[in-house]
Amino acid sequence: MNRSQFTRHVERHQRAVRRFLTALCCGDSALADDLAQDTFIKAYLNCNELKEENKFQAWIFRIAYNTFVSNQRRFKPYEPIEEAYYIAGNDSAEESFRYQDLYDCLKKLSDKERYSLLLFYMQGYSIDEISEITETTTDAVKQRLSRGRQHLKILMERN
Amino acid sequence: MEDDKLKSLFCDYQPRLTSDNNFMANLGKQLMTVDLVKSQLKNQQRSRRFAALAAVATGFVMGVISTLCYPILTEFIHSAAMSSSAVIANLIETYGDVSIWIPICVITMAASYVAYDITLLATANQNSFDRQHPFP
Repeated sequence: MNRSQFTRHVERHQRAVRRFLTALCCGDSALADDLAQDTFIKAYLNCNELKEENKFQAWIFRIAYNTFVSNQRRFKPYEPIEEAYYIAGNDSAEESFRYQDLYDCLKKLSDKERYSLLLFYMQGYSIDEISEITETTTDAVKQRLSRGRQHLKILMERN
Repeated sequence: MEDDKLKSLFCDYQPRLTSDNNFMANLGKQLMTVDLVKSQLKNQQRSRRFAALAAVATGFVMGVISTLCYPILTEFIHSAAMSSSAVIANLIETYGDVSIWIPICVITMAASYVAYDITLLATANQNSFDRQHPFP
């Protein structure tokens, strides 16, 4: 796969990857963009490993997931400075706070529950596909989905 | 919470992302850098392979020359032994072969090393010239 072919694939899937990573990073779009850039560069470096081009999306989500996990391991999770939310950015206030409740709930889930839920509900992957992407068993995925659902339910009700 | 509610919650999730054009432009720059580094690494690898081949060829040529010169060198050593004192003649008789092979080895190794170095330098210069003048 050459650069222009790769770029065509990226153009098609970049929004979905960035949306997934933004949710995974609980609304931190700057971090999500950095991770997305890392994801696509890693993918480009290893694009010879991709045998079937129609599996590009699942492959890219697997790399995105691995990039997110290794980033979480490398950097200690930090508590955001609350005041920073009120500093005016390019986004309107309504846009910034639109998903605040969802982000607050997602933040309280474990990483495993969060990405299992996002891959299942947001990206529409099946349990088998998620187990392939995250390199775990289907039982583990089912368990994470079930726990994640329960936790999210409790958190959303509380909010 | 039911499945449908969760589905609709996540399906409706449309966060404001940074501009697609900016994202693609940044990525394009990074991919270009990756390509540049890749091509430089490839050139380096090619240079090293070429230099190693040159070193092997030089070593082979030096080996052939040494083999051809060996009888002459042996004769020279023996004639030197004849014309010197008994002690030196004895020493030359004992270590004659070694005294021929050691300089041959040293010269061959030095020639191979120099050939490796010169080829590496020449190909590196060629690569940097190619980088500076990418268009014919």
